[in-house]
Amino acid sequence: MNTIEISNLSKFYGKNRGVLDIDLNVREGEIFGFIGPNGAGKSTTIRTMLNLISPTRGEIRIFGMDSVKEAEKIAQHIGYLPSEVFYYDDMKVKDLLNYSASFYNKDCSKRIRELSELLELDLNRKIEDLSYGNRKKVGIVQGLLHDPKLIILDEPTSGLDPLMQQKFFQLLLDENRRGKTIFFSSHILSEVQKLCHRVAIIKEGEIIKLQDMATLKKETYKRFTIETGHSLEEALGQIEGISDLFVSENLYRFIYKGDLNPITGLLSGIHIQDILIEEPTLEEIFLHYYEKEEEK
Amino acid sequence: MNVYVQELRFLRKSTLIWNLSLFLSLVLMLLIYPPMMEEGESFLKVLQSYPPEFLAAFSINFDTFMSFNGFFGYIQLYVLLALCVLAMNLGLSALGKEISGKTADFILTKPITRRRFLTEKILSAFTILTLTNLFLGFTTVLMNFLLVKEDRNLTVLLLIYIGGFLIQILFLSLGLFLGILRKRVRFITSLSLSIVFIFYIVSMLSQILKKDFLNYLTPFRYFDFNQIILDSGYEMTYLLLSVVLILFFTALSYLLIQKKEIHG
Repeated sequence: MNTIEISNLSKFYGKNRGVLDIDLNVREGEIFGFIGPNGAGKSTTIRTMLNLISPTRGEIRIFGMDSVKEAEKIAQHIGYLPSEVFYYDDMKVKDLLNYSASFYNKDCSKRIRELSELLELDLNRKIEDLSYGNRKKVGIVQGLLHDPKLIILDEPTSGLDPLMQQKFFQLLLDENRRGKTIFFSSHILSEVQKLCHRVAIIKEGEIIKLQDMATLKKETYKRFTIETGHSLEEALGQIEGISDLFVSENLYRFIYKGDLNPITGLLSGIHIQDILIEEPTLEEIFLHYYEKEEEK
Repeated sequence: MNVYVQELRFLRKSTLIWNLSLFLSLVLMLLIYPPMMEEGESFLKVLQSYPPEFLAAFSINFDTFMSFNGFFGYIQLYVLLALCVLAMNLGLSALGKEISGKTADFILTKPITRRRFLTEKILSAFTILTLTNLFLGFTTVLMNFLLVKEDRNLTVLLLIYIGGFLIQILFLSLGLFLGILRKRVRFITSLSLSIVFIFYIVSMLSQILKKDFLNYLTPFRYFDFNQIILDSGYEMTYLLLSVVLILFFTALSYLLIQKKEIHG
């Protein structure tokens, strides 16, 4: 069963494209990654799901209900953490969380305590006195305190230190084990790789790839930067999986996808002055997908 | 009713400050009345030396000015200006403050319809204006009993307050409408002050130029306090117009908020 069904969704801001013809299903109980560079349309999709903005065409169904007509019923079971958190500055954390809890017909006090302790959040401080990271923690607690069936996260880790990010990921995995569906939007590939079962890649408002994480992980990309006096151009041109090859005097730079052994085999017989093997940026991977899509 | 209750909590400090300031202004201005009465003749002479246009602009009417209610009506115009700024603030900030403060994401993703959200915001603003008017109304009655032994017409006082209250509700509904219509509302108090004073200037112009059509353009002419004192009642056309405008702006606000796009 699908928790989220997005059909033919398009959103325009005047003449400007927000998202275009998005079709997407998120299955019940999965952690779904939604990844794309800034301005790709991730937040537009999420804001349309939450009925903060209306679709230009197409529809979104969440729990089988129309996201516009039955927004209130849907919201009962959604926990949302926006990319930037803004709350009422003159409120104390506990007052804000109690206010948030007052919208749901259940006692959330135990969950508020548990989550605050886990995230080391001081409930008695005023919102205006909190650092950005602590505000983000308030956002996490307010998004989860009512035990939602669907958790929607828009760039959730910005502002959290690495230790807190780990705790947060563990919390999300625990929630998922308890049957919660998670929609996780990010522009950081490694976060999505850590958590998600499936991932959709969005670029310039269009979904360009939708695949299982297991498959995406197989398609591991590396960026090689090699400095050597030997000429490698011809040999590299014969290896399948190399793209974006850049040659400048003694320097070779390229993105490689596939078995690493042909590369290491080639390099083993030559004198190398320097070598750097690193994760390519998301932009580079997107560009790769994008070019492949255009070739089709 | 959680939005309603929370809104009252948010506004309690500013409401207290508004009430105290208006209370002090009202009391201090009313305290001028007894010494002014003692010097009645000479005071009137001074006033008569001013050009009629000047007196008209400030709604000074010799037939009513020397009575308690007439003097109060004159003062009330300035208290009303402040109350209209308060009403406009409340209207503009109902959604406008949530959008400019970016808290709309928090509140509008909760299980609450936009209609209910707006209704609770309107009710909280209505409650604040009602309480403020009741407080000032009781203060005025008390001052009336303290300052004058005769010349007591509480019905007229009540009519002046209800008229003023309707003008405030009209500004509240206009503020609501503008707060939802505009993409973002920044500098809410400055905007409120500008709008209220523009309408007040139109009211002064209508008095000076004696152009009746200008009366329809400004709520400050819908309930002429001097007329209320003389007639002990309202002009039905303006009463109806104010009710129609309140309903019009409120209905538009309900329609607009349904379609309002909340951008990040």
